[in-house]
Amino acid sequence: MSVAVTTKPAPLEAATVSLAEIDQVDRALIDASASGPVLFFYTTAITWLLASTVFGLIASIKLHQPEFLGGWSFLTYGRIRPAYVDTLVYGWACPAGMGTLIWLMVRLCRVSLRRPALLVFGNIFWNIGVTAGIVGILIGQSQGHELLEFPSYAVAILFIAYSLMAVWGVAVFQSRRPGHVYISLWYLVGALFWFPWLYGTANLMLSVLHVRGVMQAIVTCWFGANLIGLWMGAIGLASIYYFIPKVTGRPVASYHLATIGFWTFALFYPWLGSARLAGGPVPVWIPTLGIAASIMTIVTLATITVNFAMTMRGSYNMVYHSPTIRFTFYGAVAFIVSGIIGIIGSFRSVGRITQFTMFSSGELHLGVYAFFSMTMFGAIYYIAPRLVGCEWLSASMIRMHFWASAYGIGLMIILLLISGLAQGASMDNIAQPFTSVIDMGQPYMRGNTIAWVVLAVGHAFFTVNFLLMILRFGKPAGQATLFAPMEGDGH
Amino acid sequence: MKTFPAVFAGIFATFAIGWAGAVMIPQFQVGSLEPQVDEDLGDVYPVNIGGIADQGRQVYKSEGCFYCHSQQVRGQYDGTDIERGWGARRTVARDYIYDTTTFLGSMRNGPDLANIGERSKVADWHYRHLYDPRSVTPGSIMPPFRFLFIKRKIQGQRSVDAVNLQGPDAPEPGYEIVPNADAKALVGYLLSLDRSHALKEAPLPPEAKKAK
Repeated sequence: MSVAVTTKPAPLEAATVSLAEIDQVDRALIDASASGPVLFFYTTAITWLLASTVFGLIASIKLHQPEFLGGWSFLTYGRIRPAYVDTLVYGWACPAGMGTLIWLMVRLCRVSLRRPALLVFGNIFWNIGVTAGIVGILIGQSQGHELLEFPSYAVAILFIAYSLMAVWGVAVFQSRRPGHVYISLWYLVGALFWFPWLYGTANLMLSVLHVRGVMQAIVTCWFGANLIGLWMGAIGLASIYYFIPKVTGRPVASYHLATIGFWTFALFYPWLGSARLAGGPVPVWIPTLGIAASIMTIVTLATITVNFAMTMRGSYNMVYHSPTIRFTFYGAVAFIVSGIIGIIGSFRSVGRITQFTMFSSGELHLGVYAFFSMTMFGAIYYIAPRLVGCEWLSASMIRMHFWASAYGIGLMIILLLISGLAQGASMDNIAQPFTSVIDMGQPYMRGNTIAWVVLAVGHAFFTVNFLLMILRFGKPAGQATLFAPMEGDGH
Repeated sequence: MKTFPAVFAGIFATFAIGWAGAVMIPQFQVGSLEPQVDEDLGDVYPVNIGGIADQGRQVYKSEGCFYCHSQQVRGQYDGTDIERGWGARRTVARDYIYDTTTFLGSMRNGPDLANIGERSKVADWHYRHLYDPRSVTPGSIMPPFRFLFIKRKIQGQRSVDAVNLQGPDAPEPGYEIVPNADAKALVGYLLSLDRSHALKEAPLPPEAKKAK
């Protein structure tokens, strides 16, 4: 971060002020250079967020109204559900994450963004790939593996797209100004590097080498857990580690804890997927190792929790004022909750109940939405004004977005987790016939649809506010749009 | 860490260890299992049946059946799958070696299908169920797959393929509803799903042996 300049010795007093000013101009120049590509990523991401809202709502209705839109093959539940998850993950979350990654990288490497064409073409290809993949799923060309449904032609396009962005990322990192490499940057370099390995080997093993039988399930579980836990986890945590200190104006409480958190994260998270295979037709040691790794993540969660709590101490009122902090804080809490639920769910006594129920859908939404998407919303609320050069038009629209997203996703996750436990428990009791287990889930599924409607309202507010922003209908730059006025300088 | 190359080496190594342990070692262990051959009886299991079952597996994949139906029977210590009658024994890795796409599944909005071909052997039941799930299983939340069927005028005699639909689903007189090629392949695949053959690593429980 850029605090080093202000710690010069006293005789340079006059120079320090101007250095700080230079620093500010420097940051403005970096922001200006990143403006086009980052806003492009955000715009496409938000477009897909709206598409996923529609798909998700349809899929949710179908779980309690199975005849709803039942006449069309391309809207059958088995197609609309993966179309929903994949638009959310590949259409919204990945580009939103990449946009944030790009901005954080140029800021933390303190270099202007060069070769924007790589990124622009990368995002164009990425969106062509996602479109091809979603259309492929809807017309019945799915590969048949969760989160890896995209047909091979779409995967190839996505891979080319990602390579362009990764080349750019490596170039920026190599040209960084010398000095301390901040912890966020560790996570970002990790994310940039892990994704191609993850996506490349998973698709290679499934579609080119055609691994046999249960190996496909092992690869799919490994991939799914890593895409959400490791890749999204890394970008989300990078964002949290950047914005909480930035907006509260307090440095990370313990840098030592932050590095412990990073290394235990990198060491244990890649193993988590196989815990889901407990009881399944795989050698027992595979899920057992997954469960062991899952328990070890207590260390990661504990260090991160303590660090965030200590950094936030005395600044909790910022949650009341700053949109960025409010969303980011929600995301940070969701990351911790999601980790704890992941650990509890991996115990075999709990897993036998929650396996094959909506509980896993609850975990998915906790990771992809409550943690990652909320963190990205927070990042966008901070970054977009600096790129466009004006402030958010309406604090009430941000407030509406927050409450709708927070309550919508909170309600959805609670319903999914509880219905998972309830249905799982009665599934485990053979006195309960299977049809009554299904009946029992129906009220929860209806509640889920209500949660979707609430989320849709939030997304509508967010989109309108964002559109007004990029069309420069915002307030003049200078005074950040806050929920409530703050004393001193606002961020 | 003073130098970033050391950090990068760590980023590489931690992920590589996870990949090797969670993906590559399992691949060496279960990636190239062979079928079990009983030399005395000349009995081989599993058998690669191919043909219509392979085509049906494609339909199962396109329609995303596996988002609601698992194909795995957990052992007695891991769940009540066997008590629910979804299989006589737990399924093991060897059961799946010929599945070009393996659908272990992660959700049960509907029952497990690992042995559906052994549990429901009547093709017409499957057709009626696909056409209108609630006509045979009240309370089911399965979507209808009417788009896999063709309604046509009866030419001369009623086709042998015609589905025996009752009540409101029955076509008007002079018409019949027949499954299309995809529906036939899908039902062919479902009828082929039978993982109840005894394996050395997963023997049948004594009571199931007696029943056979």
